[in-house]
Amino acid sequence: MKITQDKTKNICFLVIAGILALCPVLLNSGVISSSSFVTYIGKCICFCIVAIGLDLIWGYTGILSLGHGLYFALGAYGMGMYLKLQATDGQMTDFMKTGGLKKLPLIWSLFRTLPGTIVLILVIPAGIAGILGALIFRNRIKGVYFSIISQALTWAGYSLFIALSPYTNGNVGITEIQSVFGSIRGKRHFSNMAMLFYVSLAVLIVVYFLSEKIVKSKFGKILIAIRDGENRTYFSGYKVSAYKNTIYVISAMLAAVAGALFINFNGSVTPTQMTITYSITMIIWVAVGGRGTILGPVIGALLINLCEYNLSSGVLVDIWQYIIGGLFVVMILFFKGGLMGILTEQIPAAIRKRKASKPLDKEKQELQAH
Amino acid sequence: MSTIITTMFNGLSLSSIILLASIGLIITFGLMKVINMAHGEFLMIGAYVTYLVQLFFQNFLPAAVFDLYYPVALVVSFAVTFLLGCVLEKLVISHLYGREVDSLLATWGISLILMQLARTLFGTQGVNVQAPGFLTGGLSIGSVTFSYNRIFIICLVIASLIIVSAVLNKSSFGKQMRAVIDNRPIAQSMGINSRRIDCLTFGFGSALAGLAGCSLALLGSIDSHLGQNYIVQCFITVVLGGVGNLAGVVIGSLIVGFSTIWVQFYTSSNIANAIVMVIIIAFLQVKPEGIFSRKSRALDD
Amino acid sequence: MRKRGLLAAVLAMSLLAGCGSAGSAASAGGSSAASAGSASSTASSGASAASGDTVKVGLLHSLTGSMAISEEAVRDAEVLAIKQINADGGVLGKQIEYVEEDGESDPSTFATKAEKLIDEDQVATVFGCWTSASRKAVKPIFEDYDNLLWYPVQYEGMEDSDNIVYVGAAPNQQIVPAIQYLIDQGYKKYFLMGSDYVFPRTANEIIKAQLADAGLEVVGEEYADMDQTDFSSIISKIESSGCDVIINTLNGTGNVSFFKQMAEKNYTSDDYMTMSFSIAEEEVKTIGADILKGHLVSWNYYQTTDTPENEAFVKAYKEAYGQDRVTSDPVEAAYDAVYLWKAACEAANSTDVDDVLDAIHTGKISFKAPEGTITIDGDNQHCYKKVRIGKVNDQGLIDEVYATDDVVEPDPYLKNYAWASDVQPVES
Repeated sequence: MKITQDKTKNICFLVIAGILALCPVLLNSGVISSSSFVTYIGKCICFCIVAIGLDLIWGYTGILSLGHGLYFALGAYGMGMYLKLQATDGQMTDFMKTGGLKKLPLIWSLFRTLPGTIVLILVIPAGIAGILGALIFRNRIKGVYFSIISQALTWAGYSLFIALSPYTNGNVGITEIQSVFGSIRGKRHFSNMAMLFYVSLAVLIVVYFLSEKIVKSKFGKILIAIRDGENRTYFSGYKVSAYKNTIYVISAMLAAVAGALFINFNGSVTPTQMTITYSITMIIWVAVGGRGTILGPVIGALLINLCEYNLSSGVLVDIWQYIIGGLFVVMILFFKGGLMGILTEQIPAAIRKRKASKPLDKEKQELQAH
Repeated sequence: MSTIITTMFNGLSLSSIILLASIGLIITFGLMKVINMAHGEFLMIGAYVTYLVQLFFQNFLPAAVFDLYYPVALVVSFAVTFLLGCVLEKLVISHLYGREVDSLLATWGISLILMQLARTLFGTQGVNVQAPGFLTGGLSIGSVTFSYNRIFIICLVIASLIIVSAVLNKSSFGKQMRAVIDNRPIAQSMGINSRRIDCLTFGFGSALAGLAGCSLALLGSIDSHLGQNYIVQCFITVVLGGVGNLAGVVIGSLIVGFSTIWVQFYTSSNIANAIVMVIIIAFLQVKPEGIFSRKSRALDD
Repeated sequence: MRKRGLLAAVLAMSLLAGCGSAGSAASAGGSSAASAGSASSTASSGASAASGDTVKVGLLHSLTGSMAISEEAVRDAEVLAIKQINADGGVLGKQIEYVEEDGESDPSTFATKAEKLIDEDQVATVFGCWTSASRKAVKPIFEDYDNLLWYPVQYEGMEDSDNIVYVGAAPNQQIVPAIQYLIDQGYKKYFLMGSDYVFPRTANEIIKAQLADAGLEVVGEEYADMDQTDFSSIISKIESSGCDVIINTLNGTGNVSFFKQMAEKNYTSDDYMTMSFSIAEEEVKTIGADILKGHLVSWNYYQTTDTPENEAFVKAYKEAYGQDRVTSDPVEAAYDAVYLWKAACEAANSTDVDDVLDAIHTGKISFKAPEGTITIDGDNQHCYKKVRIGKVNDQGLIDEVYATDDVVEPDPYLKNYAWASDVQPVES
């Protein structure tokens, strides 16, 4: 049953990826008439990547990070700095001048080249996550205390990015940039947008199968052991803090990659991506989709964001907040496994229960007939 | 010299505000181990109730008794948030005991709903309450002015601490509360209705938040975002102080309040927020259990 | 077991497809099984904005989140203007249909929704934004898609765009005259205080340059964070600075806390005069006239502005939204924006963006607004407006204490001021 479930999951994912891959094609042929919708789906792909990263630490290791927006935003800012330097030809930007800087700061000049940027996008969040993880997990801080600390960290990051406005442009963030492939807006830049879209989709597919591999491996089994019984794992001789730290760093890197792709679609990044609300919204995607399944967060992220795209306009804007809040509460209370849990466990269990009760009725009827 | 006195008073005042907002958390988080992310929204509800009571007094009662609205508001917000806390406990929290992380997430969903409810009922514009006559202005000693409502908040905090401490340690309700938290099965077998005690405990913690919201209404504008401004500082203060420990949270809030004010003095408030958070997190590496931790030999407390 | 797995897969995919098709159905105009929740004000046709006898426009504001505090009134003004124009025959005989989107106080959501309005809903123009962060996030989108945004709020300048019309004040129509007024009144020591975001920071750079040019002293510069409620340390810094006037660029909620806490210490405008750029009638109503009376503000319009158009406007606004509502400069500017767009369409005899822009570039589009006649400058797409310095009175409204005789030409880059060269942007 396990093998069929996994194969079904993978098939399901490939089908979803296939539908996503069709979107630019449909746009080109006119079936989908708005390129902004396809751009939005591109953003959703980025959200799927960060959701998978969150699932790795939350669904499989039991670490609830309420501050992953920090790494997402760091990745976006990193890529944004590169794109901004492309837009200004390596010169100082306006906000630096207004902030009183005399020349391009050193940290910005590191982002002049694309390979350098990609390396830094991976290294800086990994470094921060590594240091934090080493300190926090070594001190056996876990559970809700870790969650509260992760909130405090992302809030500190948010305040810092606003305070350092000569370097980061404060609340406005990095704007007036084009994606790595050039402008992606409108029908005339369709080829750029398609390239960006397929690159992101490819990253998502790679991340998905890589994550599946991680959780199937021995490393992954130990993560699940840590989630289910940390003390026992500890007593069995495994260095729990090292495992936790490793998966936390991996998850931070995934979030940074997602952020770096996101800014290409969005054209800007602001410190709002670092707020606690934004980070908890990512958790909502994983919870609704189904934690601990890798596929669930993908479904959750796509579903909720697509619904929000359609439902948070006009008259429905008031109701959307009630819907998302209520959905979240109901999911946590009754459907711990999220949508995947409902589909793969609860519905089959309900069907099984009904089937199991039927033969008894038949026997009863036969007894009564006699 | 007067700058130093003013800064010390500001630090004391900010600490008292944080402490007042966190006292309710000591009960719900510290004792019941329920993470109530909607705690900030209970602050907001207390503040809005104060506004409503003020409106009532303005429109239906003679101007002479206007100042009485504030004591009435204190009582009403305590009662309203107590009831709301009990309702929330019965509907949501009771399913989540033992599942700390899930209680965090579920109450976050509740907080989204409560914030939108505030916007639906009161509009997106903020509202404001006028301080009652006996709390306007300040006490002038030499060149320094200490405003009355800040002094009031400090007194309210001290009074609340005394009351909470008395309830916890001296009253029979407090004894039952502590019994249920320490060892539920034995408490139940002693005849204590543990479900009812849970409900009342959570309601009590929420009511303290409502009381805090009533005081916060004096300081600034009241809108759906009131609670969000305090939630991170409150939680980190409780964790810093040592979860469940009244004395610890007092010290924790003094540390947070004074360090924020002092760092703000030399830099801006955004940098102060960041620095104070980093200092606290660094402190928690040294002492992960907080300032006053319960020493136990258990692996998980 | 295989069957169940497959059932799961099929259900998951159909859910996905349903939600996805809901998005494209809105634009493709086809019917879809699961097109749940398309806003009722969205027309299902994906054809161009002006079809038949209606023309579609977009309204893009924060209806939830922290910025919603200010933006709802602005949106109400736009809706009032649209309703009035429709009752009067519409634009070029077409009724205006508006599509509303929520920016959720998050600039990247503004970007997404702006793109949605332009590309999917195919609106003829958009009225929206408030914070500079949201405007800067949507600016490239309007430029790339060649649509038109009408921005109704005063801002820090140093910007212009072919695809935005700035109906609010440029810095030389609000900040610079206000400082000049204070200099003429004899204030010598200036304390600059604001929230930590681009408008206060840029405004303070402009003010510092202007004061340096006049040889006057800036005794303090402080930035509060946007959610700050405790101003005790900033107030102590004000006290120890010895200033005689505070230039206040705090945002909405910060203003309420700051002034209440000043009042706690019994400070009035006689002790510390303040000149604010973000306090309008709404904020006065919230904070209370007794705390704010005597303080100065700088805008182009007040509810008390004495023109017949304003009398009619205030009356209509109160009738539509309640007698206790007040009108303010951003509200009036948003109202003007819709009428200016109508005027431009009529001059161009078309609602097409390029035709409207051509009409605007003639520099002749104007509207007899409640604040007086305003005209769009064909070069930088800002508006010629009168400048009015106001003082809060004890009824909670603002009285004019000084006004320019005529409308002031907008100069967003402060090119006409020699001392402003350091503040001007480097990027082309």
